[in-house]
Amino acid sequence: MPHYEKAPITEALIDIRVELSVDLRFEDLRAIKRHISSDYPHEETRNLAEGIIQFGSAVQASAQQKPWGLVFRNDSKNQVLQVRLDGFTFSRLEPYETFESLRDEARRLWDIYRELMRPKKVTRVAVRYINQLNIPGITVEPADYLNTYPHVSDRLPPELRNFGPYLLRLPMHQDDLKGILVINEAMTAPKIPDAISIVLDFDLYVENPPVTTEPELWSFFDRLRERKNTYFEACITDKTRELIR
Amino acid sequence: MLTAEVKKPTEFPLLTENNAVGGAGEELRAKVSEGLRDTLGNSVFWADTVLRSGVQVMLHALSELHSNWDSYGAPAPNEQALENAARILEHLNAFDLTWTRIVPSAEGGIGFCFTKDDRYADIESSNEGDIIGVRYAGMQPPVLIETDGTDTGIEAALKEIRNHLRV
Repeated sequence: MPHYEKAPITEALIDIRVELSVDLRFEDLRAIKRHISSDYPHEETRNLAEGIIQFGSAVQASAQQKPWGLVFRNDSKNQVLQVRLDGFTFSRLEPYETFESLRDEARRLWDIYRELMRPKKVTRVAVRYINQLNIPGITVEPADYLNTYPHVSDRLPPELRNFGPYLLRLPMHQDDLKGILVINEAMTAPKIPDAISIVLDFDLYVENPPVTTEPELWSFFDRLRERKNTYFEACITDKTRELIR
Repeated sequence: MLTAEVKKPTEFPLLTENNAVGGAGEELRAKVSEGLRDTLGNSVFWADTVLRSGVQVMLHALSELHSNWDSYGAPAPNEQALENAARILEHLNAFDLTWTRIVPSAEGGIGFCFTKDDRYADIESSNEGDIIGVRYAGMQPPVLIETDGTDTGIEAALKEIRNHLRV
């Protein structure tokens, strides 16, 4: 994949779901803090309320909250670790560096999680890249910038074809990997004035991944990342490349 | 053509109307909810987007308040207060948003309130154009957070609030 000077990646994450011993409790996750607090000093509890996962408690307080996971952030607030009884997620926010640095830090933290929580098996792995494209203008012809987008019938007169905001969720089957790549595409609030912001989110996951060793697991992430790149390149046009080059 | 929403902010995620009662409607709603849960999943970015759009929608709702909204004669937030509140929102990062509640002020204006454990802080955009805050912990006396109303002043006030909340 070509290198983009202004890569629009707003979050890249590596996610590993596991099966832990049934004896483990939420409080057991706190043991991880001791090993990472120097690099990730900011901690918060993530709650599960009526089936909705929440960050924090102030916006949507609920009497039926129960702790779901612990979230740790670094001082710059651009690296976030989530640990839960069902797994582990490491996110790199803007500014994105490289896949190698994402993978290496995820692996370092995973080793700590693995050592302390002793997962019985890995049940699901995922690589996810969320891009935010800021396209100048308050009206945009999606085909100019994207190759995958909701197509509105040409049979409609032009004045009836305007649309947005929208949310597209498209699961794409990855037969060789035995996984699913979900393309989430949505319009969100733009970061700059007089622009349209489109989020292009690639979430590639594989359940029961064919890995038995740690090196196999991390090589598998490399394959997932390559596949994600294939989709990204296929989903954008040259006009978008110009924006992010 | 894809067009920007200019009339009012849109809350994210975009939910389907809850007015269909048939089986297909129910099924669609369940599928959309399930899909959204998967989409929002473990992403910090999406969590931030949902929180930010929620605050923007609340801000818009406050812009439609009428005077005497509390039945005790409170003035509605005016344009100056709304404009400054939008500026404060621009300075809130993902971490701040986790702890934010937005409320109209009985004195006229808009307040962003932050609570964590026994620590409280707020920053208020008044109808007079002032931006001022307060912080306290437990039963300790409140400490005033003053700003000069500039972007630098807002950022400094939010930094003081973050330090106070220890986030």
